[in-house]
Amino acid sequence: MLKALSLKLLRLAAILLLVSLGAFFLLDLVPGDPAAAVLGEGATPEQFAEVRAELGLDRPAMERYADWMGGILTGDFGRSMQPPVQEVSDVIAARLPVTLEIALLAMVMAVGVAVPLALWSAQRVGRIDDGIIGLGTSAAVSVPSFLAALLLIYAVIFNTSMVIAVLSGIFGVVAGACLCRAAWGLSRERTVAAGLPWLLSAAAAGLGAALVLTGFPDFPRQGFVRIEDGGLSENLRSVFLPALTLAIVECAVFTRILRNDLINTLGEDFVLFARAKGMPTWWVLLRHALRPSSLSLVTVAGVAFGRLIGGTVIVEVIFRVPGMGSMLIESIQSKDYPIVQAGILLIAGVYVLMNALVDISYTVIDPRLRHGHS
Amino acid sequence: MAIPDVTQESRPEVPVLIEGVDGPAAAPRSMRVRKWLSTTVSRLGLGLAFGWILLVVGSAVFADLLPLAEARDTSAAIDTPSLERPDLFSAHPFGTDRQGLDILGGVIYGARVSLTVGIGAVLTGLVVGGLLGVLAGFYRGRVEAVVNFATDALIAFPPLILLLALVTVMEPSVRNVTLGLAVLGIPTYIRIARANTLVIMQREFVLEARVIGARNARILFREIVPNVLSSLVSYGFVVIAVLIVAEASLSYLGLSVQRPNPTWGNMIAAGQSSLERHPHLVLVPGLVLFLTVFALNRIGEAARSAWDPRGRS
Amino acid sequence: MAGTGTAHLHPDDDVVLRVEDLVVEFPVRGGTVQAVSGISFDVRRGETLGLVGESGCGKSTTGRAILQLPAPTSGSVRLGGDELTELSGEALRAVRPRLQMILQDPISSMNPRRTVHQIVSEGLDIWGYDGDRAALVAETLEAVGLDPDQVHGRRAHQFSGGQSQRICIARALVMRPEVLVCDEPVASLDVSVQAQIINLLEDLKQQHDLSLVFIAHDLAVVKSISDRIAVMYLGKLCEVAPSDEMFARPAHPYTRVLLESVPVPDPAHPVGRTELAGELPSPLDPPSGCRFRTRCPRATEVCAAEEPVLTGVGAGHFVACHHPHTVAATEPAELAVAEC
Repeated sequence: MLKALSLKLLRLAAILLLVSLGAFFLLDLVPGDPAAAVLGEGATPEQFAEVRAELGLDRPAMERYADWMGGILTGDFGRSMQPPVQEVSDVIAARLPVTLEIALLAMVMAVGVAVPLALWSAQRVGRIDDGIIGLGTSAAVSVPSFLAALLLIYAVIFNTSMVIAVLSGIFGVVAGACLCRAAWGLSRERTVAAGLPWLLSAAAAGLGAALVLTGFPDFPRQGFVRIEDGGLSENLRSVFLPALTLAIVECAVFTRILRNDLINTLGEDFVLFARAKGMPTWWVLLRHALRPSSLSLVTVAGVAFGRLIGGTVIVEVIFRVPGMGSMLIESIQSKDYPIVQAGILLIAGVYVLMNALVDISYTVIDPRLRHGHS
Repeated sequence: MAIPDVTQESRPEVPVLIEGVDGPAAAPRSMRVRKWLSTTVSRLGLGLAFGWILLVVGSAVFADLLPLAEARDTSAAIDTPSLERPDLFSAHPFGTDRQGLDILGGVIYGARVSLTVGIGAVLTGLVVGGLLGVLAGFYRGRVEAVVNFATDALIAFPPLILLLALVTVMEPSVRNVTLGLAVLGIPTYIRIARANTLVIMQREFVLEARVIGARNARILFREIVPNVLSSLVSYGFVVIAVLIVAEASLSYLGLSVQRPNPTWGNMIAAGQSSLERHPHLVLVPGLVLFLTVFALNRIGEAARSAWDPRGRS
Repeated sequence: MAGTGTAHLHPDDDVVLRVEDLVVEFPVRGGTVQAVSGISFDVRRGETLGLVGESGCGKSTTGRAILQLPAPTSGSVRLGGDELTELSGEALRAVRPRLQMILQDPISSMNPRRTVHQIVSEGLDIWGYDGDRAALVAETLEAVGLDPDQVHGRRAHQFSGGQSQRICIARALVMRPEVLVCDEPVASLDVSVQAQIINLLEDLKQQHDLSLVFIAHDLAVVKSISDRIAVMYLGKLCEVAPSDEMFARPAHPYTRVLLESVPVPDPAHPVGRTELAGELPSPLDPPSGCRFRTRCPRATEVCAAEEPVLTGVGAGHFVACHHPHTVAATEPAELAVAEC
């Protein structure tokens, strides 16, 4: 196992090297003279020489790469080409936490909704509610993130009252349905246990409706408020919509994967055995089925988080959030190559590391793999 | 001893119907009804999906023959009223944009770009990635190691970042965007082709072909490729859907085909500033984009469960 | 067991296939699997050699090594005058038609996307057969008991296991082979169909002057078709003898256990007394000396120290054992034979 691990690490190092080479020599792929692209038309020969020296184009390629890599390993990412000239590392230090916050929030929302949805769907395979969840997730996967963002803006910001009405309506209907189910359960079995879960659900849905009606927050169309500037609630309000946009697709993906896994697990003999012993459904689902089924969810969620670090580009552009993605787009448009290079290296690096981590954690999570029966 | 001399061949197995596992209380009749309902609904859905795709493909192919109002040339649309609301029975069924260009026409010409890019990229990726994957699975050893490493390296870049990197250095033309998206699809195809090849190689008919004296090329193209192809093609629909989304995202960011040539992405980008007052500028191309991707995904799922045993859940 | 040695090989020219000191090893993580460790046997023209042993003993690996798929680690495989292990590439390919193979799973042996006609005539296409291909294919299909007009355009999934195996036999037969290696050809078939396929193979052998290497785990199946039987255990040969002799006078303790395990459809028949203790040792780390000693009721110290060599105990009867059974006939085995 140690040998396998070191082989994986070696592979990881090789890929990271390749990623850094790719990010760096992107500059050399720019058609024409990158200096001309930076300066635009009408620059003097002196300016040209200066920019070329700044980009290091007057030196051999490997030397430039070695310098760049050496700088990065000591925390020096170079300086930006366009005004205001600043340290690339400072730019990244300001941008990275924003992206991380959005990605993390999106993951939490997605997993939080996906797990109960998948549990519900998996134990009602082939019924109408399972079908609706399946169709809904399939539709959600088909919505490009920029479209989802615009639709959310259109609904939540421009038609707030309609959203409030619809949301509170849904909560109200759910609460009513749960109440009816609780009453039916109580009248049939005459034990508190029969109705309690449904009563609790009804109460939760009712609370949700009340919250939506009274305290629906006023989400900003765009921008980002740092915790230092506006406090936690302002900050959360400003990242909620971007995170929700990302969460919709991820949630749909997670639900589908977890549902399929759960269905497989629920068909296994040990689950049948637990049922035969007379365990209640929720116990079987949570204790026996969820854990063995969560392996691929962990995988997919890990990879998704790695991808989100780079995948927030569009959402950041639409909501004007100053994260890594918008930084990348801005610097591509302004031909600020040092920032492009550093940005790509960092995003791809996190992505690769995340994938490797998932790969390694496989062996830790799955007892079968841990004992070397691969 | 153990070999009775019976001359009749055994009959093929009679398929055994297995009732659903859940719900011991469920009556067989209600289950049959539910089953009938769900197959009917899913067939109907699949039919609608096919219909929609045919409609989009057809109108994209015959766009020049359709009686559409001007959708691309701003100077020719100078007399048309701008920002008209959708009215199905007017000259502009889906309305016009800020420059008076017809939205329906834009959506149809946009379909051309989306479909060309999506299908072109998938075909390129399928041929290149499929071939590399089959070769890796067939020859194993060093070929496989090199192909795997290249795949890992390509996958190492998050898809959108890879695209951004590519468009940073390329002119945003239909051809270049297609190539860029093809690169995006290649690793997926390599993996599917390689995995399927490894499975097929275990099948005994490959061994038999060798026993008969078939050369490698014959085994590759007669025994393996036909069996790998069906799963590659069945994944194709889903990959087209993914690539259409990717193209739309690029155009939305202004990194694909430029205005005034319409694409679904750049129409949405152009319309987003008037989202509050004139939502149709975003909603119409958005809806078309969504329906196309949704339909392709549904068809892809159906194709996968029908053709690719590994896609079945 | 486990004998090496070549005392049982025939010196005459009538031998079609001669395998000497065949070794097949697979490198795996944590060692080397010694699948086949130096076995020798030969097949004379028109003879059927049965190769028996429990699963994992290396009999299928031996079958494939004969066809160089994959080539053995060391040893010699001579087909007629050609040393197959020294051939490669085109030269090896040129020999292939003379040496054909039938596999255990006939359905998996047919490409699901091709028709029966394509499958059977493929060999003719590859080797550029000049005559009427369609006629030859039809004739061959008929020879294996299928109606050419009916099966011709159909695909693998439309046939039962027995029919599929007939098609696979036709595919091999159309090449006019000298030697046919049958790797558990009936193991996946219904018992009633097994008999038909075995009868078919026997008929074809006679008609086409074939030599057969018949690999199976089921002694009963091997008995009815083989002229001689070779028993394998963990990559080595235990005993080689003519079929009747093997059943009448099994000399190796392992052969006796195998014979006793053959079920006899008679409730009065005593159940085999000897049971094998323990499991098949790992081919990663086989026991020293005789490989059967860890499970052998007769094992002594010499078995751990020295590897037995095949030695003659009767006419054409060879056994690799330090303590073979020398008594003439043994009851359980004889009873089993009587029931056949």
